[in-house]
Amino acid sequence: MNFINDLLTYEFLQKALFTSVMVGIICGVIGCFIVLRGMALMGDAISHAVLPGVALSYMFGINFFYGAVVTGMLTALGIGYINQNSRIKSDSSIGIVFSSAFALGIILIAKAHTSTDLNSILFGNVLAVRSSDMWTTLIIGAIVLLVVILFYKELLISTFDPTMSAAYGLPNRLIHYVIMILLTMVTVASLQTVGIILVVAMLITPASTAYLLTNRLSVMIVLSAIFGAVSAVIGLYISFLYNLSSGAVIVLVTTAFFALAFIFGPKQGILWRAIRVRRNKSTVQS
Amino acid sequence: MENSLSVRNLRVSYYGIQALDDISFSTESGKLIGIIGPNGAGKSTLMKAILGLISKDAGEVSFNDMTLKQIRKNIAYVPQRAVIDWDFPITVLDTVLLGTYPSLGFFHRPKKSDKELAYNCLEKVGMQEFSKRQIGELSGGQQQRIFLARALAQKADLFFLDEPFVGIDVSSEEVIIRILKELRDDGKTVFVVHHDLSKVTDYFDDLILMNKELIKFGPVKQVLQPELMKKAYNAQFSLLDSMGVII
Repeated sequence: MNFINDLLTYEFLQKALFTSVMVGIICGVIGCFIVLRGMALMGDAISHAVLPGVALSYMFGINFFYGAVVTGMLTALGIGYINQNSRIKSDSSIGIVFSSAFALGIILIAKAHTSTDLNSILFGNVLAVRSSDMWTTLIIGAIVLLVVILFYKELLISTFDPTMSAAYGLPNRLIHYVIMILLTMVTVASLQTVGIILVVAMLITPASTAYLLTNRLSVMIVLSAIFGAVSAVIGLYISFLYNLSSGAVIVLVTTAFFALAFIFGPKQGILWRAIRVRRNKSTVQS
Repeated sequence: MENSLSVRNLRVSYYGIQALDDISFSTESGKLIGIIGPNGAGKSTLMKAILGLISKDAGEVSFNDMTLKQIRKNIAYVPQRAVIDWDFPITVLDTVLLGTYPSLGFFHRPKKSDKELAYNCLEKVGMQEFSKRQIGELSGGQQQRIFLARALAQKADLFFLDEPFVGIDVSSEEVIIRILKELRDDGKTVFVVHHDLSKVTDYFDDLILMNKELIKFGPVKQVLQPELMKKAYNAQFSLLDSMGVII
């Protein structure tokens, strides 16, 4: 296998693979909560809103992680504020805030004169992953996984039954913003691999695939992480083989997994469902 | 055991519109109490304000002279069925197990004993054979029994149920009311938002009759008086009157 040979030879490929797998895992984990809380659009918004933060970080010469978290959080707060203080529905307020943040980001990036161009932020460039990026991803991954493991109970109940969690004294709003922070961090980690535009796919597609296959949140999280990681490996391999954009290929692989689960999934899959309906009909008729 | 509730001068408004107006009452422990009133009377709002789920403009709520914060974990709340996401990836047993979360606190996972407790509570509502099902695969009455089981697993002293009998089958309703009566006999205090007037005499000890303000609180017989009911159900009754229906 050529890919394996190259993988052993080239360090940049090792870094690319490691970072992509890590991104696949953490997107898969956080994605489960995004999907179950009905926040897919919010995920898209936050990931786009990271752009002005990245640009400002370049301008001030700081690690783009800090700028990204700040603008990501401002966006989350802004959306929440418009939601609670007007009749604007949540999808519209999300649209208003994130598109303006994104527009601002496009202008700022052009002004920032960075060596990293807009393209690689928007679409990722996994083969250019530096050691420092890899470490950032690893640390973010560790934080995300630790928070989810330590506060699994609280995340579960505030997602499933926010009224009960509020009734026994859990801070639902704080939990919401913690998830938003994790989401921005995950987006930053994913910048190099899939880019801002396609992060949302890594968040919701593996999680949705897992959702079709299980009735347990813990299993869903594990499956989602596996789908994310495996998609990253396969996607990277294919993109390397045919010289295609890695982020785009990884996303399409996650979509392929989703399609398989959607059609052939044992409980929710449309194929078995159709067969069950047919069987049921024939037993009723006979 | 004291499980009393005292509400003093409670006021709640939504966007400047008064939802609860100066409500005061205090209940004794070991009572099964119905909260009744017409649609939009603020029954659910009263429950949510007592539980601190919505902010109040004025007034005090205390439980055996303790604040909500001190006693929070001893209160079980069963929300309206409509607010739950029934497609959530969770099994029946795991839903009941959520009842043990308040007493577990942070960083502690449910232990084997907690799982046994959850299973026992599931048996009490007669749902043990469904323990591995996903919650959306159940009927409305079964779903309501699961949430009652969850409240039981919480080992609470006060129970608040919001419209538990809406859209459920007769046998589930019987199971639920039997368990609520058992809780009352154990000295617990149970509040139920309810709107089917036909069964209130069978079900409850005391009634809170309200329509934004408190019309009457007391034993069922004292509350079910024609003039009080007329006052609470003002619009609906005059409509019935005009149609020639005699109550």
